[in-house]
Amino acid sequence: MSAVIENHHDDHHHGPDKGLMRWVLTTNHKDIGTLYLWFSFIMFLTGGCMALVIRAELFQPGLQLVVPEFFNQMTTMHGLIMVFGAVMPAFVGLANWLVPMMIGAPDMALPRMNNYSFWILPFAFSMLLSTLFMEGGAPNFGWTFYAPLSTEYAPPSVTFFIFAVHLMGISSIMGSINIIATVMNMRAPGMTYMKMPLFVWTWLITAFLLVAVMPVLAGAVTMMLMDINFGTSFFDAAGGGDPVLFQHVFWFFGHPRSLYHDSASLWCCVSNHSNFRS
Amino acid sequence: MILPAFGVVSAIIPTFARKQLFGYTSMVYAVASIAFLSFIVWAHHMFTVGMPIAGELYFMYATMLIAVPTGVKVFNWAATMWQGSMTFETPMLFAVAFVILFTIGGLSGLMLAIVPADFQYHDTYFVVAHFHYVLVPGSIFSIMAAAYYWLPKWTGNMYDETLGKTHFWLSFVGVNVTFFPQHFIGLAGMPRRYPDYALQFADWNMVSSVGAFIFGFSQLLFLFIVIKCIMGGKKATDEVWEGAEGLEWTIASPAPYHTFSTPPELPERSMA
Repeated sequence: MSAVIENHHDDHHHGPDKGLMRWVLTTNHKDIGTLYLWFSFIMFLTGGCMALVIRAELFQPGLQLVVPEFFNQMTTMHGLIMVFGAVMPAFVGLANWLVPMMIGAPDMALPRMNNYSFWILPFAFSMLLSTLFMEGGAPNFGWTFYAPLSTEYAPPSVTFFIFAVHLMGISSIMGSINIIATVMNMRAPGMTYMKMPLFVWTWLITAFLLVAVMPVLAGAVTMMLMDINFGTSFFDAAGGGDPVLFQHVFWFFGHPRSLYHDSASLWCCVSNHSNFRS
Repeated sequence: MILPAFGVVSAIIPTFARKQLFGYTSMVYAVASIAFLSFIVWAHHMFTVGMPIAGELYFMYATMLIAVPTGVKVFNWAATMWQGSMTFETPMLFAVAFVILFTIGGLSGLMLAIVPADFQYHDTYFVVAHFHYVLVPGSIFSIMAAAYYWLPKWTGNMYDETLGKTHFWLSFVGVNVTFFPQHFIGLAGMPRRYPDYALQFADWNMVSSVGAFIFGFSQLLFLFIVIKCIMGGKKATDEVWEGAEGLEWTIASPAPYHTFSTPPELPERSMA
């Protein structure tokens, strides 16, 4: 029994392993948070370089630096990398670092899965970036990959893009399930829901949102895959499908998942402001 | 991915205003409402695709409805700062810039939500300007704010405040110089996703490109600040910030490898 009690004291002296394997095998929420944040920063700079290619070309009218085909690949990859590679993993990294510390938990609820959900990402994005060096070039249909641009008229590398999106989706869903499980089960005694810091609340809600919409995205890219390789016509009017279906499916995922949900804050801000004055 | 940004800003503004967050409960319900509404507005991206008039009206009004909970949040942040003892360290600068610039992105979003207006704006640089205002000074600024705010807790060292402020002002100027002119060229009719454009758009495109390079290169300064902070610097206290509340400030800086192996006692004053 005494050994058990002493273990508690040892906790604070138990440090991380040394070397590369610390980062590969880690199940520690702080290490994984750090990995996510550095990964996201690298992607931020990568996507940023692409943005600078775009802006350098647009510095003056006319074509100076890049061919139009490559310009299209830059806009597409910039959007995909920034949304899925920079912003998203940065917030997951923050969640990993902060959620356990904010609710008084020793770690995330599912530490091994936490490790998997991070380490999928470098593979997913290596695959996505490798399309730049393939015959026919990287995806060039815009980050919203509307069919039929992304099916009938897509470069061959689109299949790699689809697989990369599937991997990102798996990573996101695992990360979200982990956050939900942590927040619901690992709060310190007395940390009721309405005492949780808002960062924890916003992530809990975001995690539910992601679990709901990522499978929709997976469905969209799977239908693309079928249309391209297996002769279906989900998005092909010639075979009885409907390209507009793609847009519905994509935006049902895309709106909650990404960015726009805040379309209209200034209206209220302005009216609030006048309330302040009156 | 803007919701966790709201959470970050809701942590930072009370600290540097040295007041409790105004309207905690309404904040929680506002976030939940935004999440719910975000599921039923998707076709506002597709107004020009062709849709029954009833559909366009529904998606227009549903989208505008998001203004209500978002307004609650902006109101609460303003009310939190109201008569607070504010100081403007780097995280607070990014957080305040978030509230202001994200709101500009909200205004252009509201313009885009109006169906007849959207027929003109659709697929122009105005859309590009809108979502970059939501994403860059929105999400990215909140991530930067979070990084500066919690870096002392993560590394045990304070970052260089002068360099941090320099990074903020370069980013702030860069972002606005990049994306504000895109509103103008978008309203004038420049389509997005083309490598070439008509001569009339040349001036503002040049301004926008200059801003993009300022913003881009100033992020290398951020990398330098983070590395410098990891290597050393003034030691951070456990609480780090004078007005900070929450369990993460009760543990040592840098945070030990394992924390809360036994559940903590909650502090007297709740975070709410």
